[in-house]
Amino acid sequence: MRICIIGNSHASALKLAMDAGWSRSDFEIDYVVLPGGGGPYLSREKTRLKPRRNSFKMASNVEGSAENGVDVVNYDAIWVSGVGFNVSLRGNSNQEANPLMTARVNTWPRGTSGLPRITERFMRNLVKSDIASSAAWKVCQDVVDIGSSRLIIHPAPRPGAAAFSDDTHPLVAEYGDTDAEQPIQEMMNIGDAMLDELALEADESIQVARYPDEILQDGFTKPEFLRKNDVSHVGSEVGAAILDQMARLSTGSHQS
Amino acid sequence: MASDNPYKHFESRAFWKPAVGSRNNLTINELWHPKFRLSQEDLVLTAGSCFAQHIGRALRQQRYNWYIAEPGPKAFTQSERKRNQRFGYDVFSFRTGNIYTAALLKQWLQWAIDPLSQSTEVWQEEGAIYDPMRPAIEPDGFETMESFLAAREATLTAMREGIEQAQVFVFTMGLTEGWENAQTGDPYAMCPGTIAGEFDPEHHVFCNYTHARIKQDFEDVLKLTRSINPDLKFLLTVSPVPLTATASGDHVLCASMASKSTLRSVAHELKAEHEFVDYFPSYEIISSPAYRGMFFEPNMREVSPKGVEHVMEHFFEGQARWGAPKKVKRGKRDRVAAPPPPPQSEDDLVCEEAVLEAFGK
Repeated sequence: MRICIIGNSHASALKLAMDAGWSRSDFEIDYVVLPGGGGPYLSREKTRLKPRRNSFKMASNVEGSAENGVDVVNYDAIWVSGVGFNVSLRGNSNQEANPLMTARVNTWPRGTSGLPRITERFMRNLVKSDIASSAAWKVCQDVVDIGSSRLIIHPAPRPGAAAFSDDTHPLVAEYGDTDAEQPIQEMMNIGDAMLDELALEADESIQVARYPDEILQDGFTKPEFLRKNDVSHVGSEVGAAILDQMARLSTGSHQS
Repeated sequence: MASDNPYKHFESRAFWKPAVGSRNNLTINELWHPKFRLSQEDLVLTAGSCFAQHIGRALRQQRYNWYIAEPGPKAFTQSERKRNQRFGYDVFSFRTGNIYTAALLKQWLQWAIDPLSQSTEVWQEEGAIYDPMRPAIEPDGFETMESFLAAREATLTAMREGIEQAQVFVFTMGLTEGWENAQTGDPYAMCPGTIAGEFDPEHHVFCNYTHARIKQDFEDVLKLTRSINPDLKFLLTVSPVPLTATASGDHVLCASMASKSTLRSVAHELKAEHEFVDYFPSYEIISSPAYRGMFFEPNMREVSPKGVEHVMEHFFEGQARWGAPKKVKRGKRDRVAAPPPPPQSEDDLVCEEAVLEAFGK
């Protein structure tokens, strides 16, 4: 089975796992990775996805992909890595449009930001739009539109708790460490739910991989599963678990 | 030879033939001599029936200071603006949805000034909660009473603060017909069971508000608003949009005429009796026989964009008498374009580092 991983920095966990020995004899895996908040900026030309900028930063084992992109029809499945709502706002290049910068849920504590206080239902709508407007989701949509390959989504992992340890995060700055936790948890849950909803609406065949429960503590990724000095990216151990799951999903077995 | 009489001294706009009969209808002018100037610094509130939505947008387009006292989340694209509007934001100055009747406007203001007096009656449907005073603002309803009450509080606060700060309140009168709670007399935004809720003839009663009642409700509105802002001026308009349906028992065409005539008459009296109340004739510009129905869509109910534009041209022409710019260049229409890739932030570096580690680049 021919697979192409298309993604941003979150694809690193998968590559590290492969370098550490993860393999499946029946899988031939290519990768096209471009770092960038929200996903890799690729534009579609017929069945090819080509870098829109910074092609020199592209990491890929597909010959000529920096110039010509990757042809989706060459693969049985595309694994798009790093899709989802960015609650920590780290690496988010378009921060001012993030729902956390534009509104608060009206049942959260009243804070100091002066932002509109909207219903949770409307916040879900904002988060869904935010994911849908991301570069990673655009890749998903392109793969669905091309229609030749199965699409498996590798969501961005939940950040570590340390991502919210100082007041550079707007919710922490507004509510303080303790009171920010409930809104942060709610936003992470909303992000997961909206990614599932988007995927279901785009195409019923899309599968979304799940992170193992054991890597989480209080909803955050445990530090031992994160890369060293990094609160956003998971390491090879989690990468291997995700690869196992995506391989199963790609061959039609949907157990996760 | 006729002796001197008052008509001899009137301007030509007072006479049908030169002002209307012998003119191309698109050149009819001086329909409105405003009582007061609307400066581009004045904070202007808008509320009312759906036709009022056009006024706010046109004011903004002409660089007037349309005051959204309860803004929605910041919108960066046309689709985000539409999404906000679907949730009732940025349509009027407050997130009230359409206010068709004077009774409902009065009720909102009473609650804004005394939030403890508000009714917490809700309509429930399939687990969702709807606000009977604005059932359309949350398309799928509120999930909890807590959220419903928080949203109500936000609107009442915005209304109170908006009125305190504004210089002008533009209100478009829409209907004489409405529905009320039979026990409390609270007016609803619309008939229960149409958008949400369930109609119950025991609890929901039809009202076709009379001239006297509407006038009194408006007098109360003026008192309430000026109790917190004694300098607030009012600009009334009557929506030219006929009724979608009538519960009066009359033919809908006759009911529409009766309704609009009543509202027009109330507006006329309020303008005549209060120096701080003016009336702008959007109703006449669209509905007068002089315009031969040309500004209506083929269903003879909806007003065409050209009609709205013509109404607003008269509005700004009137304001130009006070020295305001007659025409400000229209802003370019919003274009929906593919957003450019955002600039890279410093946090991108963390992501690049991850890629470097894994892919050796």
